[in-house]
Amino acid sequence: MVGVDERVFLWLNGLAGRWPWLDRVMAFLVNDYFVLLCLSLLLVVLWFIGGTAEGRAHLQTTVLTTAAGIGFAVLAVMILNELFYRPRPFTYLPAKLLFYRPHDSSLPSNSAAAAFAAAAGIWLGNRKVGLFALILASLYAFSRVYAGVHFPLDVIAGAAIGFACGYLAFWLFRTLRWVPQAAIWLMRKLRLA
Amino acid sequence: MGWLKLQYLILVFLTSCGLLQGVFSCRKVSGLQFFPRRYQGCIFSIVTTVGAFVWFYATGDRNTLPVIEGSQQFGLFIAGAAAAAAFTVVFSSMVNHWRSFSRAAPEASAPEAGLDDLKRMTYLRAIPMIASELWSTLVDGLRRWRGIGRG
Repeated sequence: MVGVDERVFLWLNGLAGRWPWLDRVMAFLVNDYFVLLCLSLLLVVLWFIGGTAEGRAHLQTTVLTTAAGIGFAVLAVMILNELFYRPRPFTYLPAKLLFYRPHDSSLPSNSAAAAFAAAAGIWLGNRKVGLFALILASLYAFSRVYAGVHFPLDVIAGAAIGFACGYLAFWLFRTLRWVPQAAIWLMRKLRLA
Repeated sequence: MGWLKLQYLILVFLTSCGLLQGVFSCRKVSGLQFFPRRYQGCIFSIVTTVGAFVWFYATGDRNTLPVIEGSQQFGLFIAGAAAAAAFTVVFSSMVNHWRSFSRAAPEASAPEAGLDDLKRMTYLRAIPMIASELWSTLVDGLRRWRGIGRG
C-alpha cells in the first residue's frame, strides 16, 4: 500500500513544473492561510446570513458544530502525531517542492483534517454551501500532494479524520442540543445572533 | 508580536469587516451598516475583502518560513474577527447616530428578535434594552433558584 501511495505521489507531484500557471495556482492554494481563512470566514458569514430567526438559529448551530468539529480534528491529529511518525515525501523521494520543509509527521495531514472537518460541518448543516466548502477542502488537499508536502494517503487519512470529527460534533450537538441553544440564546440577547 | 502575525491579524480584521458589511447590506440590518445604500455596502465588501487578500499575498511569499502555527492562527482569527465585530458595532453606531431610526424611541422588541432589532436602531441605542433584558433574566433566574432552594 505504501508503494502504491509513493507511486501516486510521484505521479501527482510530477505534474509540478510542467505548467507554470498551474504551479502558481497550487502555490496560492497550498499555503497555511488562504483555504483555512476562507473556510473560517464562511463561518462568520453563515452566523449572520440567515433571513429569519429560525433560519439563523439553524445556521448558527451549524457554525458552532463546525467549530467543535475542527477542534476535535486538530486534537485527534495531535494525538496521532504523538503515536507514530511518517517522514515527509521530500525527505527520501525526488519531490518537486513548492513549499517550505515542515518537520512534523506527514501522516495524517493536519491541514486536510482541519479543512475537511470544517467542510463536513458546513455540509451537514447546509448542502449548497457545504458543497462549495468540500470543493475548497479537496483542492487544498490536492495542492498539498502537488506541492510535495504530503503523500496522497496522508491527505485521505486527514480527510477521513476531518469527516469523522465533523460528524461526531454534529451527533454530539444533536444529543446535547442545549449547548448550542444556550450559546445562541445568549448571543441573541446581546443582539449578535 | 511578529510582523507576519500582525499582517495576518490585519488580513482577518479587514476581510471580516468587509464580509460583515456585505452580509448586513444584503440582510438590510441598517443599524450595523456603514453606508445607507445596499450597493455601497456590497462594493465596500468586495473591495475590502479582495484588497486585503491582494495586499497580504503581495507583501510576501507565504510558502516560506516563518509561518504561523495552527493554534496561533486560531487565536489570531478569533482576535481579528472579534475586533472587526467590535469596530462594526462602534463605527456603525457613530455613522448612523443621526439617522431617523436612531432618534425614534425604540419599539417593543419581540422576545427572540436578536439581530433583527438592529434593523431599526443602532447597537448603541440597543445597549440599554440589552442591559435591562439581561438584568431581568438574571433576577428571574435568581428568584427561581431561591424558590427551588426553599421548596
